[in-house]
Amino acid sequence: MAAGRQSDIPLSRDPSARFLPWIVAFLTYIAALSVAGYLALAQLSVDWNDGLSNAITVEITALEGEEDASINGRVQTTVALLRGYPGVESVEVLSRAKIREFLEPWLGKALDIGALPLPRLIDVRLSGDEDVDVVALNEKLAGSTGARADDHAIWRDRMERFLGSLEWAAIAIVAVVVAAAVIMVAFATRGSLAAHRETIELLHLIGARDDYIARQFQRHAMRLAMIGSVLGALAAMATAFLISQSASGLETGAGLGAETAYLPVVATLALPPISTIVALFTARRTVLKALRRMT
Amino acid sequence: MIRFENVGMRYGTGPEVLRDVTFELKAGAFHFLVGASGAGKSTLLKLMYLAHRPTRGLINIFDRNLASIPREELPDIRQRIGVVYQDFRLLNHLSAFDNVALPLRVNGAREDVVQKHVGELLGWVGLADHINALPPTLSGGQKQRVAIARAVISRPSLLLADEPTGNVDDTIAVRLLYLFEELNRMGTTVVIATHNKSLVDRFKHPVMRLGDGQVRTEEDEADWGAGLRRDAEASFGTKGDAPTVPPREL
Repeated sequence: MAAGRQSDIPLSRDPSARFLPWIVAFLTYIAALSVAGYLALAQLSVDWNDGLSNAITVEITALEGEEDASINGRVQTTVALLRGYPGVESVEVLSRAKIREFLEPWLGKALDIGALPLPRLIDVRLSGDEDVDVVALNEKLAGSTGARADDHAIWRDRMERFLGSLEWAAIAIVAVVVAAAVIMVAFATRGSLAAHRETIELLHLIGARDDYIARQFQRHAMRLAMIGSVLGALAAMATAFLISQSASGLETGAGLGAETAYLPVVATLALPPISTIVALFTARRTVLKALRRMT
Repeated sequence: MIRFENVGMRYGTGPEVLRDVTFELKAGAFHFLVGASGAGKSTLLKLMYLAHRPTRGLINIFDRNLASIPREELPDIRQRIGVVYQDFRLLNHLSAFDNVALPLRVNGAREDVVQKHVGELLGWVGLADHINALPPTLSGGQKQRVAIARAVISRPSLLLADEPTGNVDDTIAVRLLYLFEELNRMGTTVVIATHNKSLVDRFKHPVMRLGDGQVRTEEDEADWGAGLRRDAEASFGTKGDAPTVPPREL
């Protein structure tokens, strides 16, 4: 059929032509936000994990009634031990000012850090050239200065499990959205088939093959899905942008800002072609199945 | 060309509309199909243009047994059959041009071929000035000519027309019959179901008479003419007055 020529079946006048783009837009919006949300969190997790995987935090808790001079001595001994430990690249004792900086977002600016029984913290960066046995290091530290090393393994395990759940949730949402889109397109196509039964019969009698008729339906469904999914994708991008703008104002240090803002864009750009293809094949399959039952 | 053997047809669980219909049309034949209203003329034509399958019996079309033709091959057969429907069955959202172009386009004809042939044919049936008109804006006679143009555009081997002159005046009716005769001379087998006695009388072609669910051709009865006239008197009513204009070339 020549491009731009009126379709043999007047599908553009069907009720489905009015409601289907909006439904596809809504479904695309949900899918885009789900995928984008998951991708943004996964990227954050990677960033956090990268920051923690080559780092160990060593803490030295003050003993009851212990003088500052004593605890400073334990800190210096620990630092010396760590600097000589295989695989350690750098060792930095966190100052009280730095600790205050970390705690301020949660405890406020009026914090009197001296009134809190806070442990001394040492940030240890690993070279990554060789594995550091944290258990052995802990045993060594406990035997000499009573310090305790934490490689954040528990936190990272929990984060990994949490992200795994989020991934499955995102997959489930996308699967539900695709299923809903397939059902809606199939229903709309069946409605159009019933509405244009006489025209389809005439085309058959003139000698039209099922494929010729199906192409008209699939082109129609494709066009509607394209319009709807582009609308949904634009709305999702706008929402993601607003979320990233509000997240950038949070003092969480989580970095939910510009560095992850491109992920929703990638996710949403992929959805219109996918929605269009899903609509095309659903309409085609529905029509061919129905036509096989006709004479 | 087409052969019916003991064909029976009923809709659902209703009575048989056609029973034990047996006849054969040779390639290049031209027949009128007459019979009283409700006799089954449209049903017989529907069987011939493959809109229905018979309840029983054998239909051979283009030397192929209809029962053994797989569904995927029906379009090839149908593309060789042109049909003028009693109610035109034009697509109201398409222009006269696009309606006539349908058989060519479903057959995958190139657009330049479509443009050339459809334009010529619409001119031939006197609708050159209505190429872009939508069917609802056309008169009954103009719609009928669009329907006829659509039926003949792809030079069918078999042309079936159900009351093709029912909505046109006598002048147009005679012109259309000349068009059908012209196609017949070019090799198309033509069957025209009609109530128009004057046309049947005027154009001396064999008549298939449908009554009591059965078809009788002139070979079936020696006095078919007398029978036809008897039957026609009963079935034509006042509708089939002779055309008042002399025949003329299209």
